[in-house]
Amino acid sequence: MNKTRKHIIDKWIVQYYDAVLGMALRLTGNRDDAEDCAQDVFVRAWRKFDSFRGDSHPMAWLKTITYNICYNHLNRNKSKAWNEMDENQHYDIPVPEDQKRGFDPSLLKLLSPGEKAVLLARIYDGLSFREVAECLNTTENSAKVSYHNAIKKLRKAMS
Amino acid sequence: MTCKDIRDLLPEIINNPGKYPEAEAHLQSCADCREEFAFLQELREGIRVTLPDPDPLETAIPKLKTVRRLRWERSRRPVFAAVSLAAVMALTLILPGVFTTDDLQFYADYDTETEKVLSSIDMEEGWQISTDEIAMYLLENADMETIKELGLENYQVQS
Repeated sequence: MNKTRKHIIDKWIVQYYDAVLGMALRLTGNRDDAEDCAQDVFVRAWRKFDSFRGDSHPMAWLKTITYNICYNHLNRNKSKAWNEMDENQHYDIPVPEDQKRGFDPSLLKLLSPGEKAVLLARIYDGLSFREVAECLNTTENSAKVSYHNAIKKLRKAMS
Repeated sequence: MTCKDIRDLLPEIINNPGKYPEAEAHLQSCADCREEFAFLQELREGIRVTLPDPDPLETAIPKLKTVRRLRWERSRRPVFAAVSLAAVMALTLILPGVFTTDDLQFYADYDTETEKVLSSIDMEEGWQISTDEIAMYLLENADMETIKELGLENYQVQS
């Protein structure tokens, strides 16, 4: 079992690390923090492997772990997250103005950790309200409120 | 379905077009919901363009750090785990073609570009992946079956 688990997690690192890091980057807005979180995701997956339901997609499980770890990280570092971030610092890839389509990553600074996590989880990573609520240790209703608040803030900022 | 229900469902419609015909029909007849749907599409596209997943070529080092961290975590277990992804990847560079099991072949084949990066970072300050170190680690910790599987019985330490 231990050997099997080890091989599976190693494969997941190869297959899913980039997607996990991408999620963590969007959530934390900071490369170093994102890499720390991504590392923690696979360590937790290894430790909690017994709770993985084999009939679900590994990435679905890793998503929930990623959101939980990043959200906790954001709450611990509220004053730091995103404030240090220059909007395209992630990959040092300049984004042409005509490709931004009205959205600027720095707008995510307007959102609380919960609002940002729910928004990204819902519209980008396809998590349900129930899944997001579990990741954030909150209720489905609270997740919905955070989601609609986030939309309202961004609509106002982008209008 | 009410407008409120539809708005909760908009991310699902964006991520799974065609799966919610009743809700999509509602969008045809409700200008407010249609407008919010368009905004979410714009937001999702903006996030995709400005905050994409990282390029795999940029993630070789953090992947290996994760593998090393897991190796360290595993080493704390009573049952000593021997073969790590880092070891297999590095050994793939120096002993191509020796892996015959599906698992190991997976690593050998997985990404030639990443292998190039791995070989280029061998000499980076602070990130020396010594093939000797890995081979010695395996010889000391792996069981004989694994050592034979990797063709390491007669491995000569180079330095």
